[in-house]
Amino acid sequence: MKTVINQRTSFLPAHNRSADSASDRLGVCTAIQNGSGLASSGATGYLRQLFGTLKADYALMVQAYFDESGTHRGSPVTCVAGYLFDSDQCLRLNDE
Amino acid sequence: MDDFGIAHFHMADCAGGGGLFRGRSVVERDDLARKLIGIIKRRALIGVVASVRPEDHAKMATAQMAEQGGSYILCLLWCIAGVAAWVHKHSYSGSIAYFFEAGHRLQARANEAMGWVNTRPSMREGCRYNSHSFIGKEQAQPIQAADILAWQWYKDWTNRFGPKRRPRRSDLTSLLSLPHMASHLTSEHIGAMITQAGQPKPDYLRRFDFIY
Repeated sequence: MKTVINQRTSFLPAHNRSADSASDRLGVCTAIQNGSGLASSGATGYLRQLFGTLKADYALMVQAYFDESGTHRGSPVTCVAGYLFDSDQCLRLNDE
Repeated sequence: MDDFGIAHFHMADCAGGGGLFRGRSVVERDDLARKLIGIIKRRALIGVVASVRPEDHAKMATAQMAEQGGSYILCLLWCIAGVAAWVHKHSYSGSIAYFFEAGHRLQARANEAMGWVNTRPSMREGCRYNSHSFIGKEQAQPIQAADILAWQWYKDWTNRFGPKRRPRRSDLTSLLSLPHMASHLTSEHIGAMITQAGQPKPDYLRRFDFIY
């Protein structure tokens, strides 16, 4: 497992920054290199596992999540789509 | 979703009333989907979506492109190029962790493609690659957000170009009020990718310049 910590910069655009974005529950991040680990981490919340151990001041990063549609045989169109999130916004999304 | 009594969200089941949504009314399902779309709009930075007709891909792709995973991998890499466009536009200097759904039948291909990105310095730097991982849909709400967009985009394409033409769904219209980078790749685009491969900034990448 590789742990990466960068100084945090919010890239959440002004139009969707919420009032609670100044909360001190800033992100934290451990990043798992090349596909290991998370799939077997259980249903207790991988985000907590990722972000729950380190303290504020530092955080990472943007996270990109992707899924697909139309990859079955005979589909007229194939589609891949996803979203970019600030890591703290991922936690908030998980809470909601 | 806890209030709704489901462990995770799957847009196709929600729209069709199958799976975890069996027995739920249209109004209930629509209400839940709209709530989740509202959350995505509050929390996400930007959406990225790419689509291609497998028929167009098969017509234009080189043998190598076909072997490397076909239309799915083309769309995936196009989304990564979209992320790189976002990185460039915002001068983002941090790193990005990439997540994909675990258990997909093309997971191994996706892993290869992201490994390919990782081993090429210009690609790695361009999309600020830090890591990539595969996670279960039930473990991560952000993956479920991606599921919503992927299904909506697929549905929108079939509504617009399929045998039964329908107007755009209002929930997709609502979702797209968040900035999105969206591309449908035609055979002309794929041809341009092949002929312009290796150029510093191929023309086809300029498609991302005007979608903000």
